[in-house]
Amino acid sequence: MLRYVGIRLLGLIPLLFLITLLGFGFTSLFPLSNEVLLSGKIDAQSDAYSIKEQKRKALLQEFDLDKPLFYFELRSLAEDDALYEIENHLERKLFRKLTLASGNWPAVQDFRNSLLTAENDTLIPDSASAFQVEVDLLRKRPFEALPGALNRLQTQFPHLSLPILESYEKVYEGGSQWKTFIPYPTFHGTQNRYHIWLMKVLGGFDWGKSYARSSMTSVKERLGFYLPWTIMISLVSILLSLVISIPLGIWTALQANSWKDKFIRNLFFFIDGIPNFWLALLMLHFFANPDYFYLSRNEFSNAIPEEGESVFFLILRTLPYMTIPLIAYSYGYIIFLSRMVRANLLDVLQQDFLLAAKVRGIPASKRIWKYATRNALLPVITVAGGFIPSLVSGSVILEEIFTIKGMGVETLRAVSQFDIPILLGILVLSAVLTLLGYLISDLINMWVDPRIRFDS
Amino acid sequence: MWENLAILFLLSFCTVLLFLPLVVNDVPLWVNGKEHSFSPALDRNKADQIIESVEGRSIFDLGSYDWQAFEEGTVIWPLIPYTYTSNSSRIARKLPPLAKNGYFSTQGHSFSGRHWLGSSYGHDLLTDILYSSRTSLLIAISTLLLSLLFAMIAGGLASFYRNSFIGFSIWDILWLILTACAIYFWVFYSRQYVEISFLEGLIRLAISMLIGLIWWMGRRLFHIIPLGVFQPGFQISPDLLILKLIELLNTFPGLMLIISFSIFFGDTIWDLVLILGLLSWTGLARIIRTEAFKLSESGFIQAAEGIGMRPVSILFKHYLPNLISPLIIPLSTQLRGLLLIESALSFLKIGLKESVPSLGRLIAGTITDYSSWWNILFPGLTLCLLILSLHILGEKIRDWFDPYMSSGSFNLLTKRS
Repeated sequence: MLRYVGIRLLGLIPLLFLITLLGFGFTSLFPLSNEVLLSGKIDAQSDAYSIKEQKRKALLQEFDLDKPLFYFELRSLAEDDALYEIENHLERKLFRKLTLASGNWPAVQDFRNSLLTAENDTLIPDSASAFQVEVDLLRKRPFEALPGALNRLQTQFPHLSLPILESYEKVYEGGSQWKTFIPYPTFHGTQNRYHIWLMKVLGGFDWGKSYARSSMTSVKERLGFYLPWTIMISLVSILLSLVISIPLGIWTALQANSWKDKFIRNLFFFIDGIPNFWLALLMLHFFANPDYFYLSRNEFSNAIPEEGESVFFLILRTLPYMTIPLIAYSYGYIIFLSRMVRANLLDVLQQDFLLAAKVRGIPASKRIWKYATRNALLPVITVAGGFIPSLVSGSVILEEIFTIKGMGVETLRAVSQFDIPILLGILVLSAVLTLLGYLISDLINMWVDPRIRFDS
Repeated sequence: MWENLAILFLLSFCTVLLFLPLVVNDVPLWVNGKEHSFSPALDRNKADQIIESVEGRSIFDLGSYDWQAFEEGTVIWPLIPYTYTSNSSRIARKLPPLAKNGYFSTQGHSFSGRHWLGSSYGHDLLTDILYSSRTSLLIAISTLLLSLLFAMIAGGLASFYRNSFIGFSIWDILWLILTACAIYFWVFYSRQYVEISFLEGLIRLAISMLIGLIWWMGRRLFHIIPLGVFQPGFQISPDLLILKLIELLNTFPGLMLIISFSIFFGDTIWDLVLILGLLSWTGLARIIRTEAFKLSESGFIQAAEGIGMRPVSILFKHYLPNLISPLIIPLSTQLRGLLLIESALSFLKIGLKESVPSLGRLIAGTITDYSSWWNILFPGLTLCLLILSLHILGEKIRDWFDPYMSSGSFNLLTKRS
């Protein structure tokens, strides 16, 4: 048994690695992640350009965003390491595109140097400082706007711009575009984002910092705040639905096709067609509205811990307001599970061993509760194992409606703000729980049903 | 009785949706004037020209034109005289169901439209519901077809290769990596700096794969030179590979994937269809895999193989017809799920752009507005009715295809238990 669990757990490790790899590759595709991150953290209006650049650099270093993504990278032969050492991202983009369009990095480098010398040339008279400003802007222009900008430079400053234009012409003269068609692998060593992230997680269980502009900065702290709410409401709703649906399923199966059974079946059929977010809105509209009934308020948004109050007591204090959310969360589970229990029990009741038990004179209560129910509940365990991931993932839409500060809302925020560390944390957490859910339901199944063996 | 009601509802609903511009329009179906008789609903351009020639000026907004005053003729309005726009000047107030519009034109003609399901500011609710359910149904059905295609391919391959293993060597792994790198570099990486048309992309893809193919042919060398490392030593079952892929896809939180995908794709209907199709084929693929495997074990298919029937005709004459009946119920469940997912996504304002009408967006519009019950009740009720009637229809179709099959636990509203 222990050996089986060990083997299964060992099998999870490569899968988890694969998931972190896929997650990392996926998040690296987010557009503008650095810019979005920085736009939140840097005050755009008040700071001067140079201060903004400094802050930008410091932030990039803080979040390791100045490092390459992975151990290696596939580039074209035309590109050079020096290209990636250009600090300003707009400038880097421009010269990268120029290099890839011409395939001639040395000439591009000369062109850039001529721009830099023109900018820093102290011999140029003060009257031409407008020229230097133009050149500085030129370095940060988009690639498509470059020829036009150079033309304008030529008409405005025919003398001063001469070396720049000469070096620009050379870029395309000695063009070796074939180089852009040759792939060239570049190795970065251990100083890359994935390695650093992985080492931090494995070393000190440090999940990094969130990009969010908030007082809660670390991923652990943020998830520690949002997780208890989601776990609480999902756990309570799953337990509630198990407690209601199993007896209900058994009860309807024992009097199958009576009017009660038919009534409940038809009722469930119609309720099952109701989308849960609409039902939630309807209930809020009619039962949490001073105009109609005022049974329960939408109190989750106001749940702020008092002085010295732990999260547990906070949750306990807000329990009465959970009536409406709980109904919205659990009616789907209740219908699904009770149908399943009913169908399984009906199947089991027709089997021969129960007939044999009846012939042997075993009383009906024992036959049903000990023999039939036990067999009928087996598939329910497998299904309940599948509910485990929903303990942490939460329902975004219901959390939005009831303003519960849970994982669903946090996931939505993280994705819309490209908050990569939080996303990776959520991804790994839910992957671990999904895989553990499979394992746990397998183990319980084996414990309940000895016919299932511990092999493979 | 329920079945007939559901089918009647679905049929009439779909007919209305097909001819939506004739049922819901803010211009008349027919205008019968003294000199001109025409149908503005069918041909807006022609109506525009006629009015311009009569009035001597161009009318930009045909919806606000006073048709009653046109040549003192008779006017036939469609059943619902509004259209889906962001805001209509004819609907000024929030009115309960069945209320009269109460709009008077500048010439003093009253406008005889009713709001059958009520209105909110600038919107007629029934119009919005009809347009939104058209979008939702279009998305759900096309996504269903797309995911069915993916599931057919994956499930079919998995069941076909269920008992076979593919031997491969380190050489083959190298081939796979090389081809992947070539495709990445020449097709995707190059797009960063070169404009690549679709055709050129295909050519680049072909060249990348050709280079991979040449490398792969090189494995023949090691039949001549016996180098142990490059001899086929590993074995893998394609079935297991596909199952593992499905498991991996299921480990990712679904909503996170959908939201992230919707960042890379656009915000039109077809982008959403592609995203949902890419993510929702796994359940169907599993079912198809097991069902196809059951069929391949069955006597009649083995007999067909025995008499030398071609595999393609076995596929079309035996597999596909027999796959339909076990797939109907999963498909209708999937359709229900897709309708729910689509409306949930537009409820959260993810995926579709703002201007596309959608049931979820309609429901979401009422989240802060508690003053009008009809705006909350009717959009959701439409969704409910659609889901229920599609479910009932699915069961009806399944019974039609396979009357002997036991209905299981999900067959409700019928006599069998």
